[in-house]
Amino acid sequence: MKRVALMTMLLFLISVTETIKGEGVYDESLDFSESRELNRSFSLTFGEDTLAIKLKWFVPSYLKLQYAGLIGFASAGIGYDFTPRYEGTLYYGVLSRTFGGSSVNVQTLSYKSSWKLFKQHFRGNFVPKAGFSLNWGYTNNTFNKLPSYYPNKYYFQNKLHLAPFYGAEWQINTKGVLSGIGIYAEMSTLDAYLLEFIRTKYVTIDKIWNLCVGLSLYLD
Amino acid sequence: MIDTVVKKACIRSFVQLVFVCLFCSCENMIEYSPYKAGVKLPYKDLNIKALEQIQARSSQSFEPFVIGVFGDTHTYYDDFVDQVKHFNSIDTLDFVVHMGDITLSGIYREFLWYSEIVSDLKHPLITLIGNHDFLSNGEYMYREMFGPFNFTIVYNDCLFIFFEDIIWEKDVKDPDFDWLEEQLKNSGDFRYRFVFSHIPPWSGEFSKGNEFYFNMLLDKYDVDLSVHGHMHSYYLGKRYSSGPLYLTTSESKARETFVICVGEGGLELVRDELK
Repeated sequence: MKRVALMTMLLFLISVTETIKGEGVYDESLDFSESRELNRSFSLTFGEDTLAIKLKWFVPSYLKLQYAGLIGFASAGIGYDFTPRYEGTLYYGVLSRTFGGSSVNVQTLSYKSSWKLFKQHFRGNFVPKAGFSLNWGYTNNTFNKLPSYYPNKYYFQNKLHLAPFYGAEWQINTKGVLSGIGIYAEMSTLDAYLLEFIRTKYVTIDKIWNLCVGLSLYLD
Repeated sequence: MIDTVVKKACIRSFVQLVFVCLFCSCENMIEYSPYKAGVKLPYKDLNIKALEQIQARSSQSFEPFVIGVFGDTHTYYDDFVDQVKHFNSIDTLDFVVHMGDITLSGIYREFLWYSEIVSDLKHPLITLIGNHDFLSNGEYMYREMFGPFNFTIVYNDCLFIFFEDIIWEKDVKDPDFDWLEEQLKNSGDFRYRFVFSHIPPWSGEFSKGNEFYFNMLLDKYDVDLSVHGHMHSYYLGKRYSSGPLYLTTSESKARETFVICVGEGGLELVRDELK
């Protein structure tokens, strides 16, 4: 677990450093205008000079900071716009005494697949999104494979959960290193809760959702 | 033009849906993690409060009384709700005991839903911890919502011992037999003695030695009835050549409840099938 956390942090730091350093020169001979995903550049103006900076391929499209939403009290994520409508974000979330005042420590690694619900990109606008996260929780008594003293298939694994969500983001364009910022709110649920909603009359639709809020920082 | 109208309608419905959900579920809208949302749980020390209520009704000398027993409700919520309704229809109950396994995976909302359902029960309720409730951070949730795992109460001159005997999920070899023996040894002279624990001694978690030891302790200290859950099916009988009578309650899905009538002449079990 520590190794995964370290790798995530390292990736995050490299991305930030590369962004701040802004290595690379914009090559006018290349035409990136066809695809927003390849046109990963921004410009900085110093007096009369304008410096065009091309981001390296591994620099994430955006950074995210999130409050609540099943993956901890607070979480940080990095992600890419893989297609004009599909975003993939890797989050690392923490719930502990310091972060959230909890009596137990829970660390969660989450990969969120998010789709913009409409074709046009509403930068500076309201962007409804939906998708699902795959959450790996690290805490007491969670496991992928049961310890050997249990009978075969005694419990179903409880480390990995699928969490569908829907929500929306309000995006604002900015100038400089950040090309935009966004504030988002999402309602999510968990596979286990959804199953009880389907299976029982008692668990109604209003009993299974929870809210998270977050901030998106766009780099390109 | 049509596209714009459709888009606007979609956005409007979407915003409305968000607001509907926001207002519907604002009670538990923030969930940090299913492995323990929190921080401040809406229910606290439920067993401790129930024990105080039961204690207040108890008399010094023996008087006949009636208790309700059920267990292994897991996520069979609709059957569970009916069981609670059935207990509510019996006015003579002194209190009710849940034999454990109140959740399926020991996650946050399963604990909340359990507590919501039993909040409709009009009798005091004691909830034991089951093996499923130990999964993820269930044991910490249980401690905060209900209280300690092991406890005793004397009611109408009868001793009730509530004993946690989880093994695999705690990754231990033996239940805390020292605590159990201490309670049995140091207790006074009572009309009846009852032991309640989630796992019966003949279940696979118990080693042969522990199975023998558990029954031997109950036999040595004259326990009259040992009540369990876990097996998901009803059993009543003398399991061993010596020792107490054993009762295991069925799961909620079996749609039945149990009532133990403790009278001058002995114990009587009533098994009610729900419609």
